[in-house]
Amino acid sequence: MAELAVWTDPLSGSNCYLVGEGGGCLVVDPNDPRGPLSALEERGWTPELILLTHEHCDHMAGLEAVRARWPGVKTVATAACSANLGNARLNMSAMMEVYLAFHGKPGAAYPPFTCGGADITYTKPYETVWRGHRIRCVPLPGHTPGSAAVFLDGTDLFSGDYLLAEGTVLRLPGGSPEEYERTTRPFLEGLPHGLAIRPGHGEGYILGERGRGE
Amino acid sequence: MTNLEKYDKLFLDAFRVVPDELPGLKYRGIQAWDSVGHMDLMSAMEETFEIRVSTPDLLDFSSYEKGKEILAKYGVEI
Repeated sequence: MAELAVWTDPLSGSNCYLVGEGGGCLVVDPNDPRGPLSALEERGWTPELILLTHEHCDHMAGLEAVRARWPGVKTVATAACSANLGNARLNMSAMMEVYLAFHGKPGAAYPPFTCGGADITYTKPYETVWRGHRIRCVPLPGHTPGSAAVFLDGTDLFSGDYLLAEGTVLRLPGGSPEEYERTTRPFLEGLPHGLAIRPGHGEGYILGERGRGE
Repeated sequence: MTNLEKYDKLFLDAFRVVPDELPGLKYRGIQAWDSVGHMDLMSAMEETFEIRVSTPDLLDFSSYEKGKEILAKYGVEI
């Protein structure tokens, strides 16, 4: 039986999800160099797969730290996400201090950085199995070129910066309202009620119970 | 393309305004120049002029005219 834990970055408010089973763990969006590692070590979980919902720094700032602590753990991301991890403009770390200032945290230090690419990339829906659990990743451009939805067993959706309470921003570098309207909005609108939404920011919820959708 | 043409194009592309609207254009003076629009503009500006602007200067970039003063600090004469 898998156990789900969440570590929320106090600076950016982003969520890192940890799915543990039998001492192994899926890491969705390692958002900080320290917090997710502490959460993993407290539970005695070893990362076996890292899944990224998109390339923004507040969702992958801990990627290299996890890789350094557990060498060999594979990272899965869309091809665009993988490419943009290495671009401080497109991963938004170049503007993160400005973002934080606009969100009530002036003076917060967040130096620009880049990360190495993913080990497994995809441009079409990608599926794999982890400890008997079905993982399905679907590219959903719009918020960023590399955004994706990550499903676990068809019951949980790690939605990144989609399906947020405050809506989705489409105007940051690399964002595309056109791609969102063409590909992503129809997909999100077709999601079944009852799906557990694990958003990149804010509390999780059950789709349909609170009328949430985009 | 001159630096002024590059500078103007950043605003025209980011905010979909016309050249006549550029003089006097201010942060939050139009709907598109909100905090998200500002980050997009600043990001494109750094890339266009191949400079790295300090965070205080990025936050001080409050108008079309003020931006020219700030860019001058980084050796970009508009």
